[in-house]
Amino acid sequence: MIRLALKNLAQEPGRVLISLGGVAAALVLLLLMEGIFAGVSELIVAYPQNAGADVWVMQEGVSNMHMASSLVPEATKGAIAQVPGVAEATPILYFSNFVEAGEQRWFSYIVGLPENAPRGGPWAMKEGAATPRPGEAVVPDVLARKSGLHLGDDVTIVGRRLRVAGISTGTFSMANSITFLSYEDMEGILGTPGAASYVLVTGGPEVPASVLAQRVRQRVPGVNTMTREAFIASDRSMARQMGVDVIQVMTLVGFAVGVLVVGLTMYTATANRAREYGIIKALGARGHSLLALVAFQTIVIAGLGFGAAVGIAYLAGPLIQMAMPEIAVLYPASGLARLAVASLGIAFLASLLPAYRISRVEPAVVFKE
Amino acid sequence: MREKSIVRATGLTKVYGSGHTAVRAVDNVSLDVREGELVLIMGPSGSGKTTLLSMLGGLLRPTSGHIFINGVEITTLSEARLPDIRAREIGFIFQAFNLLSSLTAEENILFPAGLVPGGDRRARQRASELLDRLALSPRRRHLPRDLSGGEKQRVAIARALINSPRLILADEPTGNLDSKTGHEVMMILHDIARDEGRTVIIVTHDPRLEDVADRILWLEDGKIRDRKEDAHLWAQDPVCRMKVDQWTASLFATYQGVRYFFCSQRCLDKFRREPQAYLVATAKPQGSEHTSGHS
Ligand SMILES: Nc1ncnc2c1ncn2[C@@H]1O[C@H](COP(=O)(O)OP(=O)(O)O)[C@@H](O)[C@H]1O
Ligand SMILES: [Mg+2]
Repeated sequence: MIRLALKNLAQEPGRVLISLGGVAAALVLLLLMEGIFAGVSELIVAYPQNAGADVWVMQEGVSNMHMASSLVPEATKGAIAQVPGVAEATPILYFSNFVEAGEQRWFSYIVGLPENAPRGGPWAMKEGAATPRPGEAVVPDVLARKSGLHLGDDVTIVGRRLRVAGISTGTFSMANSITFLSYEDMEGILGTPGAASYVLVTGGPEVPASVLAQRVRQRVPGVNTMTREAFIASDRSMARQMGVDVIQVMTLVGFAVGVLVVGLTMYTATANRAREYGIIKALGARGHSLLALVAFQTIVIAGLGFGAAVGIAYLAGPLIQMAMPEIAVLYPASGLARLAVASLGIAFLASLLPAYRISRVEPAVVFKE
Repeated sequence: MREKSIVRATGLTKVYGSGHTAVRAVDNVSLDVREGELVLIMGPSGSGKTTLLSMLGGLLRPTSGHIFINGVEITTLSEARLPDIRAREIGFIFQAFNLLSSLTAEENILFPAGLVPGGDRRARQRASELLDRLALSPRRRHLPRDLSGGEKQRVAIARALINSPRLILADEPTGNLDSKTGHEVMMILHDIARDEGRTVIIVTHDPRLEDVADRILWLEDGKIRDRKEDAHLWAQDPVCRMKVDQWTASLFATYQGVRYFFCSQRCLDKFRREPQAYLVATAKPQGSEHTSGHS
C-alpha cells in the first residue's frame, strides 16, 4: 500500500508539485509571520538589552518599559544611590511618542539622558554626538535615511523643535525606534522636574544582580526592581503578546490555505483514480487501508511542503533583513514545532474529502468498460 | 474431492432500481459449482451475466437469495468481512484488465498478497513462478501502459492467482483481445482449472470454449435456461440484414429501449451514425425469432 501511495505520487509529479507548493507557500507565510514578529520583538527589547544596567529600578507596580510609564520621585532617586553595593545609578526619563520629521511621523521611545551619562545612551553611532545637549536630539539612522534627515536638520517632538546632533544605529524597528534627548528637555516635556522614569543601576563585581535588586527593593520604599534579564524577558513577552492575535489569524489563514490546496488537489487526484480505488476494493482491500493510502499521500505532501517551507523561510530571512533593515526575522524553535503540528493537521484535514470520495467508490466499477 | 462445493447459490435475485424503472437483472438463479470445475456462463448481452458474477464474487449484494463460498455464506457477512473473503478465496479477471497504472507488472501481481496478512514472503517466489509460466518474465518491470492487451490480461491472471484462491471469476476476459490472443488466455484459464484443480467460472461469448467446459449455464433475461446443443436465438442485423446469434453476439446497441444486434463493428458504426435510416426499413424492430427448443 505504501509502495502504491508513493508510486501514485511519483506518477503525477505536476499535481504533487502544485499541492506541495501550496502547502509550502502557506507554511512559509506562517513561518515568516512568526519570524518577523519574533525578530521585531527582539528589536523592541534592544534598549534594555544595550542600556548597560545590571538592575532596573522603577515605580512600584511597574514591570515593563514597552507600553508602560514609570515615575520615580527625586528623593527616591537619591536614596537608590545610597544603597550599599550600588556602584552607580543613572536616571533616565522616558515616554513613547511621535518624532515628526517633515511630513513623516515615527513612533518612538523617547529617552532623556543626563549630561555625561555613563550608560543608557545610544550604544552605536553612525555620526555626530552620542549625548544630546538641550535643544538636540539623537535619531536612528534608518529614520534619518527614510526622512532624509542630516546632522543639523530639525525634528519636532510634542511641539518642541530639536536639532539632530547625532545619528545612532541599531535603534530602529518596524514597531518602535529610540530617540535620545537631553534630560532637561524631557523634564520640560513631561513636567516632572527632578524625577526619573527609571534608574539604571550597576553594582560591584562582589554583588550578584539579583541580590542587589532585592536589596534596593527592601531599602527604598515605593520602587520595583528587576535584574536586566528579568526586565528584558518581561518586555519581550509583552511585545510578543501583542503579536499573538495577528499571528493566530495569520496561522488560521495559512492553515486554511494549506488545507484547501492539498485537499482539493488530493481530491481531484482521488477522483481521477476512482476506478483504481474501486479495483483495489474489489481485490479485497479493507476500507481503512484505503484511507491509510490517502492519508499517507497527503502526509508525504505535507511533509515535503514543511521541509520546503523551512528551507525557503531560512533563505528568505536574511534577504528580507537585507532589503528592509527595520524588519528582523527570527525563527523560534517552538514555532517550528508548531508548524510541524500544523502540517500534520493540514494532512489530516486534507485527507477527509478524498477519503469521503473513496468511501463512495463501488468495487463493482471493475466490471465497467 | 471433486464433490466439494466451492460456490453454491440459491434463489439469487437482483433487482436494480425500484417501482416503474425496476430491472430484474438476475431472477431466482440457483447453481452449485464444484471444486476443479470449469463453468461457462453464456447469454445475450444484458441477460444478467455480469450481475450474477458480481454477486458470486461478493462485489454486489443480491436483493434476495443466498451465496456460499467454500461453505461460508457471504450474503449474511458484514461489509467489513467481505474484503477478506475476496482477497483470500476469489481471484478476479475482468474484460478491462483493471491493472493499477502506477505499478509494474510484477507489483500488480504481488498487490493482492499485501492484502492478506503474512502472505508476502512466499508471494515473491510465487510471483516469479507465475511470471515464468505466463511468459511475462521479460516484462516484469514494465508498467501496464507498456504492455500489450494479451500481456495485461496475463498479468491480471497472475494477480488473480497470487493468493492461490480456490475460485477464479472471469467476466469476458477476452472481450478486449483479438481472437488469437483471446484463445491463448482462454487456454490458460482452462489449464488453471485442469492442472491446479481450481474452480473457474467464465462469462464469455466465445463459442470455441463450449467444448472444453465442464458445464455451460445459459442465461436469458436473468434466468438460467437449458439450451440444446444446436439452439440459437436469432436476431437480424438491422443494417446488413444478416442473421446474428444473440447467444454469442458481442456487438449490440440499444436504441429507443430496443436492443439491436450486429454482425460486425462496421454495421454497428453505420447504425450508430444514422439509426433511423435502418429502422424504417426493418419491419420487426425487435428483430428476433426463437428457433431453439425452449419455451
Ligand atoms: N448498476 C445498474 N443499475 C441499473 N441497471 C443495471 C445495472 N447494471 C446492470 N443493469 C441492467 O441489468 C441487466 C443485466 O446487466 P448485466 O448483468 O450487465 O448483463 P450482461 O453482463 O449479461 O451484459 C441489464 O438490463 C442492465 O441494463
Ligand atoms: Mg457483462
